[in-house]
Order: sequence, then structure tokens, then C-alpha cells
Amino acid sequence: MAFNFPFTAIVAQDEMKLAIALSTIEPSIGGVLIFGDRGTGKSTTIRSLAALLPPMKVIAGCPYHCDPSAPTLCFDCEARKAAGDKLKTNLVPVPVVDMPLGATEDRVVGALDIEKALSQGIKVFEPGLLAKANRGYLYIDEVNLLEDHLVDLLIDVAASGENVVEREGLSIRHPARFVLIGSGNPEEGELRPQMLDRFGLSVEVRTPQDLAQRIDIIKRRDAFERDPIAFLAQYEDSETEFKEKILSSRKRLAKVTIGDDVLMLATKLCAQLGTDGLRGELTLMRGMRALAAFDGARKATAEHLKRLAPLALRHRLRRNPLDDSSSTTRVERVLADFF
Amino acid sequence: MTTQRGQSTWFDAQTTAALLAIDPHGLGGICVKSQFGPIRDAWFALMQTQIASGAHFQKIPLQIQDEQLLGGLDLEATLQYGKPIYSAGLLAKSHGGFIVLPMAERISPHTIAHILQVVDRGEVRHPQQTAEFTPCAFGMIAFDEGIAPDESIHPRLAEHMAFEVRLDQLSQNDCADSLEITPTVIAEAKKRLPEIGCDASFIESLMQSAAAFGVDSIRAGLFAVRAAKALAALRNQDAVTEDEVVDAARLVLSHRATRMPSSREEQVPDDSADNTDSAEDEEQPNEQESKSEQEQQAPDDPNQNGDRDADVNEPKENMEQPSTDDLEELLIEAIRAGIPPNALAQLSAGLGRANSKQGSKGQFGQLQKNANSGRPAESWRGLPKGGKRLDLLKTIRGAVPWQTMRQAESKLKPPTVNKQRSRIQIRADDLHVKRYQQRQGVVTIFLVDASGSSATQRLAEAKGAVEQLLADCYIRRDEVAMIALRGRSADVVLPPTRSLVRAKRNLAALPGGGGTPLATGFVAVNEMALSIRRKGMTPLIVVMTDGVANVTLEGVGGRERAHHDALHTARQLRAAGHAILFIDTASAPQALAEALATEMAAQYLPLPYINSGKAISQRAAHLARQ
Repeated sequence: MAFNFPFTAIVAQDEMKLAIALSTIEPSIGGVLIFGDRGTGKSTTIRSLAALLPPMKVIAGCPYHCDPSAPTLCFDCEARKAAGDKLKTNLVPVPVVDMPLGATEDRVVGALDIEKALSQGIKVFEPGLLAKANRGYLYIDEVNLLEDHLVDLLIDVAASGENVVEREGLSIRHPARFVLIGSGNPEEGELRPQMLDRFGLSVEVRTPQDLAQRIDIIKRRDAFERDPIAFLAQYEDSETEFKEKILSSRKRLAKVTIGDDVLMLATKLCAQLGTDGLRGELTLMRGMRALAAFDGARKATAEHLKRLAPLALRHRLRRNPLDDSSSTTRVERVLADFF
Repeated sequence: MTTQRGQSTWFDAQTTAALLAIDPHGLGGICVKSQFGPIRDAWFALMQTQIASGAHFQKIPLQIQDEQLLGGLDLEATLQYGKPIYSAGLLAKSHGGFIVLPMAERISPHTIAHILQVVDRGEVRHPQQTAEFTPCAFGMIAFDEGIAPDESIHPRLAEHMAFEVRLDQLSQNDCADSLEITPTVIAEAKKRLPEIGCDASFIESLMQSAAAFGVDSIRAGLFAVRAAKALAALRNQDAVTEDEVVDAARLVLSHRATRMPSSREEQVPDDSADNTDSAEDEEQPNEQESKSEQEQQAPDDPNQNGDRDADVNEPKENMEQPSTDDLEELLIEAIRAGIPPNALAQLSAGLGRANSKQGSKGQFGQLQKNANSGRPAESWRGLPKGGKRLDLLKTIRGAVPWQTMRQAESKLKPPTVNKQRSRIQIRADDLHVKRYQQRQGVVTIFLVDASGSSATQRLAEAKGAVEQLLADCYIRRDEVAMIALRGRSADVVLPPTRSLVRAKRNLAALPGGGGTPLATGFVAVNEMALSIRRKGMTPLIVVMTDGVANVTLEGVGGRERAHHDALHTARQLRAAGHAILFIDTASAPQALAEALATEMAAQYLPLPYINSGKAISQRAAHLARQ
């Protein structure tokens, strides 16, 4: 078993860590998009995420990790239930599924199980990555280089939370609710606006330019590689603490209130920036709640809005071919007018 | 290349081979820049028979399919025996050894993504696609055989390999001697490796010199530290010393340099400017190149010491260890010495590594008909490998006519392996796979005459047209490239890109003025168009000029000769059969321009009559569809 570098040992990249923490507290914010160069610790951060998430209850043997307490179950579990099967439950780690760049449509949505079809002559659905990622995370590295048809497919599934398979005589629909995490380098290709819109938060990461931080990264990595077990033990406390913080934030989330004045401010901000649709406001609202909960506050304030706005809005600005400034500066400019 | 330099390159090549043998997974791999030839053979033979003898070297063919690479159901065997038979992939088989990637510059990004995912995780999924993983760690040896400047190893792959050796310019004489590295030496070094420590101050010095050369990736620093440790192990030491640090810096960091250590103003990181635009960084080498060249000529520049001291951000630790500065100077010299000649000049010219890093689109040679996505086309007989999908209906139809015969046949044979006999007997021959037709991507190449004869206002119009087209291309998911004529040369100001951000920035920086080397421009545009075609996309050329050439192919002035050259090269464009749109930017249509357009079989449009970016864009889109 390979060890994952602990999340709390990751140096700097505070914005990325915050965005990911918020998405674990409130998954309905909708994924995180991470733009930046290679070698900035994107993949390391995502892989370390799995260890932070408390295990979840699932129906044993269900390929879609059905939640036993959910009102409706997947077709598979419903069928088993109807057949009088006593559904057992299991505790499993929250799935963090890696979707490789070259994944085929079959691998992603699932397909007819060719092996069973040919050898036993039975029609069985072989679930794909979307099924595996249900109730968890789907991580797409180099999401901006993803083939268009896969992007279309993901946009659709991410919006509906359901994967509909109609192919090879199969007619299956199964739940596919996941937090989408994408990363890429914008210099290598753009992401379609529809896809951008699917991500709740976006962050821009760079390799830390501060020498002390850079050195620290290498030292920690070096220590981790020499003796992963000792290194993990060293960070066990902070990992547990962070885990507990996520859990308590989740509990607090439902009680967090947002004043009408702050919501009004959020709406004005979106109007000023000219973001399309209501998704910007919705994300701001959910994000502010999560951020307040993460901060241990009971009420989301304008300060939370200010911190969250660049994360939630920078990828929603309409492109202006004549304005060369990056979207981060545009958000900051408007924020400066507001506060 | 002088013999001395050649010899040291050869020694370095052997050292890197030894280091990779000591820590294959930690150091990732070696990118060998060389054509097939005796020297490469000699190096590889040395690696296989002496340095890492006994290790498994697994060649990964260029067109490998996912099933072969990662393992999976062996369909032919499964059908034959009537029960699922799985085979392990080549990567799983390479555990503990090396994978060899010939023609690494041509590997599809798809395959690279799979390989690197395994490298990152250090394990590979079980061939039965269960949740289990089996450990899988190997070193990579990639032979980059690219010749053209736009053919080079994929930056993602290069990023994951610690070393690069250039054997392409060595002569036999350089390679006469070999280092005494025996399998026992390597085995002992391997044993020693886990115990070897690296002083924290060395790590700091390495990171500082990496920053000085504009090596941003953290992975590079990590490789340098690991290389220093492996070197210490190789040299029979208990810990890393200064020598290893210097050598590791040269071997790992030199080829990653994006700039020379620069003067004080530039080196003190200006955070506010840097953070606003992450892309800015990659453009910097261009500006700094001229300065760094000056520095190269005067390496004893007295200012340099002072500058480096100024950059040291950690006064505390440095005061305790006054030797750090000296070491750093050594490191900087070592890295500087290791940078291949012209590498940075290429960088500044917008070619070479840095360029391909930005320009790679992740869509090499996608063949139109065999694509795995797109509109459905007629199914073909074949095995559903490499992501192809089985067409079940066609497969069954293919099998039906043979059933009586097969049933009879199988009755003769005793039921050996296949106990539960299926109703339809399917053989591998019956299998049909689905095919899809994919719309080929279009790359529009602009050849823009930015010379004095085309007035500045014309240039502005051309820029407007490009921006308009760019916006349209963005919607159509096409790409745009731009070559500018200025002075005596034709420069690629924008390599094929889909990125609006980059295109706009490069466009804004385009100056006007100078001569009109039309012929050189035609040659450049032809080369780019051909290379685009090789990658499986369709080039569309838009020429914007008044047709008045005044610089010849050789870069000499002279109208008559220049025009003659232009006509000649225009014919080459026609011969290559490119779709061309010729936009005459003169204030009144020019006979010269029209003659050129006819010569290259282009669609001729005088700008005064269309006069808008939108119109040009529409014409181009129309032409692309034809």
C-alpha cells in the first residue's frame, strides 16, 4: 500500500487547501477547479484528501455506494430489497477517483461487461468511473485537455447527478453525485465556459516563490520518503485535528445564518461583475456558509464574502477580448470598490 | 562540440545511467536526446549489460494499447477457452526494472497519462480491474528522436524524469572510455541508499540555485536531492557532500533552466507583479535572454556576487554557515556549464522546450476514421482493444451463419475447457468494433506582413481580424497560429494555440516596421502547415500582405530577386495543396499580390473591399469547411 503525503504537511497553497476544505464541508458548492503549472502539488493535495474524509456508510456490495438512509436507492439495491434481501451496511472510505486524461467513454460511464456477455451470454452492466465516484470525488488532471465529448458528458452528469446509460441494449440509470475536482494549465488550452460553470470554486496555484517555503517543501518531502511511517506519525495530531474541524464545521453548517444585507451585497457584486446566471450568487451563499462554519462563526459576514468572492467568481466572468487583465484582478478591482 | 565537452557529456551519460539504476523510481528516468545510432546503442548496451545488468528492460511500443499497457481481459484467449483470462500489463511486468520508450516524442498523451499515473502512484491496478493495486515501480528511459524544433518529448513526461542526456552530437572518439561501474557497485550503492542523509543546508543551496535559473517545479528540486543521495551511494559515502550537490545540480537542473541568473532588479521577486498573471513567468526568459547572454560573455562580472547575496532570503541560516554562498556559486557555475549551447537562445526564439511546454495540445495524430469518439461510422471487423467499442449486434450477425458448422464441430470435440456451452459460439473473427468519424481540428495560420510597406493601420486591422477569428475559433474549438514578417526574418509569434490569453498577449506585443521577406514567410508557413498536417489536423493559411516583397530568401534586400523568390515559394505552397486565403492589405488591389495569390492557388480578397475582421473570419470558416 502506497502512503499518501498528509494534507496538513502541505506547505503554502492556502487558497487551494481552503477551497478543498470548503468543498468537503459543503459538497453542494460544486467542485473545485485548480489552475496552475506542473509541479505545484496539485495531485499531492488531491490524493491527500482521501485521508481527511470520515468514512461513510454504504450498502454492502452496492457498486454505487448507496446511502442506506437515502429515500431512494439505486436500481440494484431496490431490486435486492424487493427480492427480500436484507441489505447490510458497511463503512467505507469516501472514494476519490482519478480520471486519467485518456479515459474512454466506456471507462467513464460504464458499459456492457464484455467478458460476461461473451463467456456466459448474460447482459450485465459494468459500472464506470462515474459510478465509483458517486458520493465522493472525481479528480480530473489536465481537465482542459479533456476530449470534448467527455466534457459534454461530465457537464450533463454533474448537473443532473445521474448517469444515464443507453447503449448496447442496456438501459440503466444510476446516481452519480460527486464533487468534481479539475486541474490544468490554462496556457495549454481553455476550458469551455459551460464546464467552467460546473465548478463552484476556482483557485490559481503557483509554485511558491518564497525560497524558505520551497526549501521546506523539499525537506518535508525528503523526510516523508525516507520514513513515511514516522512522518505520518508526526502529522497524525494535526491530521486528526483537521478532520475534527471538518466534522464540527459540517455540524455547524446548518445553523449558520446569512444576513439579508450580506446577500444583497453578494448579488450586487455579481451584477457588477456581470456573471451569467444565478450560479454565482448561489455559490457565494453556500460558500459563505461553509466558510463561516469553518471559521467557527454562526453568522456569515461581509468579511467572509470578501474572502470567498475571488474563489467563487473569478472563473465566471465573461471574457472580454480587449481587457488583458486577469480575472483575479478584475474581481479584486470590483471588491475594492465595494469594501 | 569540443572533444572535452563531448567526453564529459559521455561520462555524465554513464553517471546518470548508474544513478537511475540505483534509484529508478525516485529519479523517474532519463530522456535521451538522440537519433538511432551507434553511440546511443553503445550507451544503452552499457546500461543493459554492465550498469543495470540483470534488470528487466521492457520496451513499450509506440502504438501500445491500454490493455497491453495496464493489463486486462485477454479477449482472444477468453473466447478460445470460454472462461475469462486476464493478462498483466507491460507496466506491471516492468516492476523493479525499466521501461524503454522509443520515439518518445511521438507517444500519445493518452499513453503518457496512463504511464505517469502509475509512476505517481507507484502501483498499478490489478488486471481484473478490481479495487486491488499491485506495487509497480520502474525507471524510464525515453529516446527522444525528434528532429524538427516542434517535435520533442511531451513536457509532462519530461517533467517526470530527472535527467536528460544529449548523445546526438557526440563522436565515436568522445565515447572511447567508459566508467568502471559494475553490477556489484550498483548493488552495494542500492543497499546504502536508504541510509544516506542530505544536510539541510545542501537542500537550501540546491533550491536557491534552482530558483536562480528559473526552475519553478518543486519536482526538479526533489530530483536534485535524490540524485545527490544516489551519487553519494555510488561513491561509497555515508552522506551527501558538496561534490555530490554540485554534480546533482548539473545533471538535474541544467536542462531545466529557463533563464540565466539575472541581475538584482529582476531577481528580487516582485510578488505583486508575479502573482497577478501566472503566465507572465514563462514569457520572461525572452526578455532576459539578451541580458543573460551578456553575462555569459562576462562571467567574471563583479556584480554577480553581490546580487546573489542580496537574494538570500534567509539571513539566519546563512550566517551560521558561511560556506553556503561559496557552494551556491559553485552550483551556479556547474549548472551554467551544463546548459547545452544554444538551448536558451532557442528558448528566446520561441522554439525548443519552453515552447513545446506551452504548445502541446494533447492531440497528436488523432486519426480521423479510427477515432474512438465522434459520429458513428460503419463498424469494422476487429478486436475491441485500445478503447474501441464492441459492436455487439454486428458481432452476433457475423457469428450466426457459422453456428451450424461450429455446433457440429464442437460435438466432435470432447468438451474440454468449456463446460457450459453458450448458445451462440463466438470466435475472435466474428468480433466487430465500432468506428467513429471525428471532425478534424482546424488550425488557422496567419502570415502577417508587419513591415513598413504595410502601413501601421493595416497591421491594426490585421490584428483585429485575428482577434475576431480567434473568438470564433474558440467557439468552434479550432486553433490559431501566427507568423510575422519583420525585418529579415519570419518569426513564429504565436505557435498553434487555443488559448485566448496567450494569443492576445502575443498579438499585442507584435511590432511593425522593417522589410518584407515574403519568401521566407511562405517557407515558414509551409513548414508549420505540414507539421500540423502530420499531427492529424487541417491547416488553413491566411496570408495578409500587400504582396510587395523586398527581402530575398537569403535575407538580402532587392525587390526583383525578392519577388522572384516569393513566386517560387508560393508555388511550393500550391504544390503542398494547402487551403489559402490571400488578403491584400494594400489600399488599392495590387497586381503583384494577385499574381502571388494565383501562384499559390489562394482565394484572393482585397482588404479594401471586405474591410472587416468579421468578413475575413467568415471567409476563413467557409474555406476551412470545404
